[in-house]
Amino acid sequence: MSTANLVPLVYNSLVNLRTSTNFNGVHTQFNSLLNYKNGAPNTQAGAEAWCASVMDTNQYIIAGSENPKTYVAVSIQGRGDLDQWVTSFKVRYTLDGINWKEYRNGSALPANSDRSTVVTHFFDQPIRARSIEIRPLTWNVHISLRFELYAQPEQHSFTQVGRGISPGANTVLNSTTNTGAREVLVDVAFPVEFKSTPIVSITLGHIDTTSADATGSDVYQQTRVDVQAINITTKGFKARFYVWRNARAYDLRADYNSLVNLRTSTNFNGIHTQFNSLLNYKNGAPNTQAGAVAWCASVMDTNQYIIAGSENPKTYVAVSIQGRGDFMYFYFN
Amino acid sequence: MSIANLVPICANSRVNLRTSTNFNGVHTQFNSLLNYKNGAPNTQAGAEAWCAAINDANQYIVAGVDTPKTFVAVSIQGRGDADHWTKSFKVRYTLDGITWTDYRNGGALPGNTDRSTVVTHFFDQPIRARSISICPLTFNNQVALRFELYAQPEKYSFTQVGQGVSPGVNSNLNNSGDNEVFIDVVFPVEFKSVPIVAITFDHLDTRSTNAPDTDDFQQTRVGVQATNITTKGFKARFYVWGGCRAYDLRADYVATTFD
Repeated sequence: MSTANLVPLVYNSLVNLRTSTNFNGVHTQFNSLLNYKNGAPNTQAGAEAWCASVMDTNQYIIAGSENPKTYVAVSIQGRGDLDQWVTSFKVRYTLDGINWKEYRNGSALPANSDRSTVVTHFFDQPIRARSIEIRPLTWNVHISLRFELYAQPEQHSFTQVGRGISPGANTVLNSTTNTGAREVLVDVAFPVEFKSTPIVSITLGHIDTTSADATGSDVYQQTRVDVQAINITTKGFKARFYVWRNARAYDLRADYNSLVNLRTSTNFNGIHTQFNSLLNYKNGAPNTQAGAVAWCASVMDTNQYIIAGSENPKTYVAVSIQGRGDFMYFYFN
Repeated sequence: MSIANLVPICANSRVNLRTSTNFNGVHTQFNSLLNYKNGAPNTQAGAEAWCAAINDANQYIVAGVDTPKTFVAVSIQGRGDADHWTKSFKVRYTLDGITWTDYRNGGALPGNTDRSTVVTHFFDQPIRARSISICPLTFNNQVALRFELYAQPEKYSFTQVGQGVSPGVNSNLNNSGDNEVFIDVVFPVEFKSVPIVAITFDHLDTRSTNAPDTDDFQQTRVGVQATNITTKGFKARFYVWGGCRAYDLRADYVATTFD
């Protein structure tokens, strides 16, 4: 198991950290990142660890985020500038923010035996949580630790819904003299502008159709009607209602769902140099992350549908099912 | 270009801030807001800036947000209570949390020349990111700064989907006349405000009883709509008219709020 392709939440400043106690103003969670260094011989930045001020089993550091995260692993490390480390710890977490659970029923996980070796624990199952707590159980000399939390990358989607898009009653779609393929385009403006071009699913909720085909023909009374979204921009789209052959639509009404999946790609130049110039990751995480470029290359694919398929938030999957429904072709036997 | 109509996310406490190092417990990111004042002559609140403990080009302050933001500009300012400021800096950012990108390929942006003048840089293109890092490159005396990040306002949407809403087989819709059937639908969880609901068909089984050779012989006339929408659910109204009869219908819905 590897932390490549996982998001380092503490490093990325994606979690808020709260501690039970801090030894003083320079022994805080601010110094708790894996491999944190204070710049010795200048040690004004303080301890190379978060250090509690009380030595008992009621000390902890909690990481919280606004949106749930899927935690895959936790790394823990000793204090860098003194012989202090946690030798065992337990993990607690909450998803709803009210009910807390104990990972492995509160049993102890092995931690450190020196200042610098990083110990990484991959959870038996990924933990879905908004807050997660690391609680030292036993320690060497003093409760001090540096750590990292690794989560799966997450998608963010934004959805807008519209109702009652209609070409109007008795349009050219209803003509008996102008038969064959006919279309009516209706301009639709989104309530707010999207940050990027959305996928739009548009389907029919009101159907009033018939056919002018001759009695006895193979296509007599065949229903042929369709609606689709075209010319989609961040601000809106054109709803294209159309019929073909001799089908007639007296009236149609459609609803739409529009969705952006905001996990878009950016430039990947220079990642190697930038990442290695920052705090040293001794557990190999930045090295394997450089390997993640290959995975990130799939993000460059402009087919966001595929990217969505590689993650698994529940609501997104449900909306994507809806997305397949934007072409309805029905017939009568 | 103006910062009006942009969200000052540090002032609004919308970001988590992590620094490379802090000079001590009262020179932290807590004091990094633009125009931060420590209440002098009472200076117990500490430095009027975030100040690093190490003075080199490896220091930074990184702002992280849970949902992506569109960053439009960054403002930077010197330390208010001493002659320390950042003379030039670069910006790095990540959207997926794994791959980092250098703004302008790591090119230096002009910072400050005094304690108090705010310098604002509007990004060439708005930057879409979950984490963004301000990295001082050159500095006057010590690495120190106050700053702000400006982002576009963002809406947040919440969507629930339901499948298989149906009036049932051979309902009143299968009798002659203009008929409607209401089906109560309860959302899986209650919305925080009344949603918009889109409901449309995925299963149709209909016919018509109009007389042959009439203009609407075999006309398909069927519809579904969401009525009486509350935060808890709605009534799905299935209807037929003008001679059309529906043996069975099934609809899916999407309900969304945003704010």
